Amino acid sequence: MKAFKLLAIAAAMFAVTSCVIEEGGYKPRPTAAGHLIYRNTESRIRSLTTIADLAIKLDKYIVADETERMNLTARFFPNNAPSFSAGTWSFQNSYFTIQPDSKSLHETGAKWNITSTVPFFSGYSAMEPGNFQIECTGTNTWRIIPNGSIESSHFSTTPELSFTGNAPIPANSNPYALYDYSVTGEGHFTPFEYGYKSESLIIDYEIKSPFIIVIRNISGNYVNIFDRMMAKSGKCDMIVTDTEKPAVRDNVTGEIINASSSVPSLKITFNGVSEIWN
Amino acid sequence: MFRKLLITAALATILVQTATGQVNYRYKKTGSFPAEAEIRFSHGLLPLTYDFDLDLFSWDCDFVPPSVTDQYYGAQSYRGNRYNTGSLNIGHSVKVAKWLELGATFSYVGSYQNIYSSLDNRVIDRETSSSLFFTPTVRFAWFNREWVRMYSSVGLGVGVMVKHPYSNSQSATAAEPYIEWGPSIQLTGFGISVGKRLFWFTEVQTVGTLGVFIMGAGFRISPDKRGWRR
Repeated sequence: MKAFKLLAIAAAMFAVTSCVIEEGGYKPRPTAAGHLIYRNTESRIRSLTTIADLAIKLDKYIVADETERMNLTARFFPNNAPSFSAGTWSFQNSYFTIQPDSKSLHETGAKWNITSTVPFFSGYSAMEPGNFQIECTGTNTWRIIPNGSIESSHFSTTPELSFTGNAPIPANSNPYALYDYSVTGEGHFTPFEYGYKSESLIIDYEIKSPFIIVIRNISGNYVNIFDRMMAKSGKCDMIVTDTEKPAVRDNVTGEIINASSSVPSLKITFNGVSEIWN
Repeated sequence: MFRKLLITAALATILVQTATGQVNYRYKKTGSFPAEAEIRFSHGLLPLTYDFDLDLFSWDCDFVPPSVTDQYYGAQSYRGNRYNTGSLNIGHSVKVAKWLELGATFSYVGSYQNIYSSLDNRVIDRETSSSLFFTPTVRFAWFNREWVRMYSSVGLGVGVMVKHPYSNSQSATAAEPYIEWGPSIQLTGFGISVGKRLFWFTEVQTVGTLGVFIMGAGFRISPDKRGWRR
């Protein structure tokens, strides 16, 4: 009987004192992983658009006379005045260099090389330094592709994006914008952010509905200008794989909806589950 | 490290036994040894195991952002509550003087935490740990009455933890189970036992592998009841 009492007391104590010692963690939204992938992909597209835009604006600068050049410097490169040396254009306070060929970039067939020597960031997302080739493929239409391999031990980029410059934007409407762009194409890349950690994801993306990318009327130089670019509409399919986990293959779709709003909403679909992100 | 811990545990055990032997011998000679042994069953709250997060006390503010890969997998899962059994203890001790008891305690501590998919809330993994401790203990009774005793104690021994962690890292080896050896230390500031042959006890102001608050019951075997009144 005493042994039974002892056991009962022990069981009662155990019931009282056995406990939760750590509250459960934050529960991410079901499509949070898909949102992360979309955010990185859209940033990548905006970054490439920014590079192309830089070359297209430089072309306007090159063909202008001295007076017009002063106006264009004040408008497009207020903190990054371009200078020419040994066949290469460079920009103050910036890490881009551009090597034009003999043609204007607004002339079909022109192929210019753009080099960036440091990673550049758009929000949290980053794009590795590398060489790109921008080619004029028609009237106000360009294509950007890697110029040689940009793959390194950690990161890889293979975009092939086409840009169509919409109607030229007058300076009194937005001094920083030359065109808004419709962007189509596809590519793959390894996303990374500030930490420069070893990454193993690969995102294969394909633009299903053209991204309309506009340049907002805010100041800045080309070191931090990427936040100027804003996607107003577009839809993109992405497939996520992992070089270290062969079983991983996730499907993500990101679509900008409510485009008329100043802050467009996103519809993210991650492995069949859809959510709206504001 | 493991060898040192084993040596420490062995020394602690030997010293306890040696001390017990010395006292037994002395009392045997006088023929008035207060023979009393006790067995205790107890449960401790919030025991310190080897997965205790020391970073809680760190003032290091360096922030290293996670990789995109870790963020990606981290966003696909979340942790549920972590449950802990507390320490389940069984101890044995021998009274070698009116104010001194020597003994040892075996303890088990288990914990688990479910990992859920953030996509559909199903359980995708479970992180578990099981710890065993052997803690030779010296107990100093500074208040002795027939029904009530108050005491402090100190224990030092060895422990082992088997952990099955969960990791959403891309590293294939990050989630391998592992075994960790270490010391078992228990300091008790205040303990009180109430009862005679069958007694209840609680210990507070404690810290260590047995918990910060211990409660239990036990029974005493004292063939020579005159002895403990010495």
